[in-house]
Amino acid sequence: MTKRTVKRVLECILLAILFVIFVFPFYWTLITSVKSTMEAIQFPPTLWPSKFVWSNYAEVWQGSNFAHYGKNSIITSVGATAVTIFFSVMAAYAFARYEFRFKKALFALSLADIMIPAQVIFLPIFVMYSSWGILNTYFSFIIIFIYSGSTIFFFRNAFMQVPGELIEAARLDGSSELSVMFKVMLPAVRPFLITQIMLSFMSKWNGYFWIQTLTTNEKIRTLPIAMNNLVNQTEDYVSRWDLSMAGSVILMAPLLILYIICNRQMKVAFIGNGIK
Amino acid sequence: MPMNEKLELKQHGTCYRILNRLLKNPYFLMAPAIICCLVLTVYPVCFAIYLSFHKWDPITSRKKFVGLENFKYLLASEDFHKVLLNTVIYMLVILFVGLLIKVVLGVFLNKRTFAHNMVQTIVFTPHIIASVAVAAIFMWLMDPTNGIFNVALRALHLPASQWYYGSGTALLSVLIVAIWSSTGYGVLRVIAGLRSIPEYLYEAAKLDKAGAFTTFTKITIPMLSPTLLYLIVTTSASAFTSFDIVKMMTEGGPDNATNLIAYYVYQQGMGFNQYGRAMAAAVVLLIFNSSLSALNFFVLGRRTHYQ
Repeated sequence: MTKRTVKRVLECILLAILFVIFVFPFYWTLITSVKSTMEAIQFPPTLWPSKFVWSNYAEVWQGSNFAHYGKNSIITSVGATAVTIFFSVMAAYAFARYEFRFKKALFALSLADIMIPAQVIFLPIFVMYSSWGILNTYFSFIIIFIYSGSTIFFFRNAFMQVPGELIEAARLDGSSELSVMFKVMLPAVRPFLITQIMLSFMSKWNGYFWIQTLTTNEKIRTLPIAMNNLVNQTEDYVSRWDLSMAGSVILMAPLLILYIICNRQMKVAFIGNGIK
Repeated sequence: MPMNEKLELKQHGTCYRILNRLLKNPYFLMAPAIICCLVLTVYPVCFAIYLSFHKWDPITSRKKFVGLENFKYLLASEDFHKVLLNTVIYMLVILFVGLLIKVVLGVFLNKRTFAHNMVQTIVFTPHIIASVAVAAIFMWLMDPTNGIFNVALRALHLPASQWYYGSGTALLSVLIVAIWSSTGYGVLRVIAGLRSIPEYLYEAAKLDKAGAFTTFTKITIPMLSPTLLYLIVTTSASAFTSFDIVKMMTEGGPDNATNLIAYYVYQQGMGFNQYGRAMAAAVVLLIFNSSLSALNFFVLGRRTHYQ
């Protein structure tokens, strides 16, 4: 009995330690974001703000122009997610349903980016864009995401799992190709579609590398860049950690809220069904 | 085309009929993706390799073929040696320490009680949010003057650390952040792997009176090996592409202490306008990374991806 109790207690302690390691940074972020500048850096630090300074958020939103960057974040993430999903579904549909010449070669080609990290191709793309004069436009930024090898691969597998009889039945009913697509195929892969939209949106919302390398002015830059500007900014040699943390909260909030609402679906989306 | 399909088509306009035709043409369907693949992935790689043999001043835009000059520069450059060393250290630490943490926590958290579930969810949270935000949070926690880490160290009468400002501790700080934010994903992968191990194996082990340790090494670890291999490959690949945290926290400094190869490519290209050198380093990165992803995709991919 004693051995078991000891084990239970140890387990609880370990769980508590893990909880603290992973929750404390978020707690500290939230608390700092509503402290005054002086309270944020005072010694000893306070675990609960003596006065809530909500104006930090207003200052970040207007003063550091998070409104502008947030708007850009929404435009680019929604646009990039839409083109990734749309064009990947199209290509995947062809690979899954039709037989045609060069199919194998084209499929191998469509997986090129799995072997090629962004860190290798950003500079050539930057050079191309600047010689074509399309740097710093939403268009040139979003078209980077039209092609995504892993998304094509994922949807091809999903479409191949749709039983052939379903399609045959629709055929016999005299459905056109468009109705087969929209009434049979897409509903059949709906869970995959939702998963991919979610994952794609998250990676674009959080994305930093492409926006940092393919843009040179603040016109279309997004929240992660604003975050970088914010932490590097000092006032009279004092870092404004209260503002930086308010910025972090703004950047994290949409995805955290999504995660709180549907954390099971999100875990399944990332890891697969084994986690259920 | 069957008779009734024609009938259905007749009810709709020309636009519908054209779309319907296009949907039957595989080449049309894949055209946008394949064209973008060629223009924005395949061509840039070729261009990168081409540039790595050239010296190019982007201001005057004059290109000169220099053969292996850029690679020779990298081979001789002490900075690049340090960058490679950093990348290898980063990879080994995140591989061994990171993987150990993931497996231990995965085994520990693989229970279906409320508390375990909640901690699973919380451990996974850093994977959801932007690495830029994670970096900013840890910059504040590790701030040498006012950060809570140093406040805690001082309260315990321990020497405070310079964290990401000190050349000795900067790489460690970046690694702490990287491990903190990547643990959750690995833990959930390990849990998913554990749950796919059939129960009867454990029952058989019990019948044979195998101890907990034997069961773990003889059943759990071998059955978990696809998951472990997948984690090993993706984690080592991440050492060659990790950029966000380094760019945010240290910009490769101090004195190149945290300069990893992905950041070095960026720094040479965007910072110093040395396109040739940057692309030579990128070719080195490409060789490492593509062999790892090829290994992952073709050898392990079938067993571990998208179950």
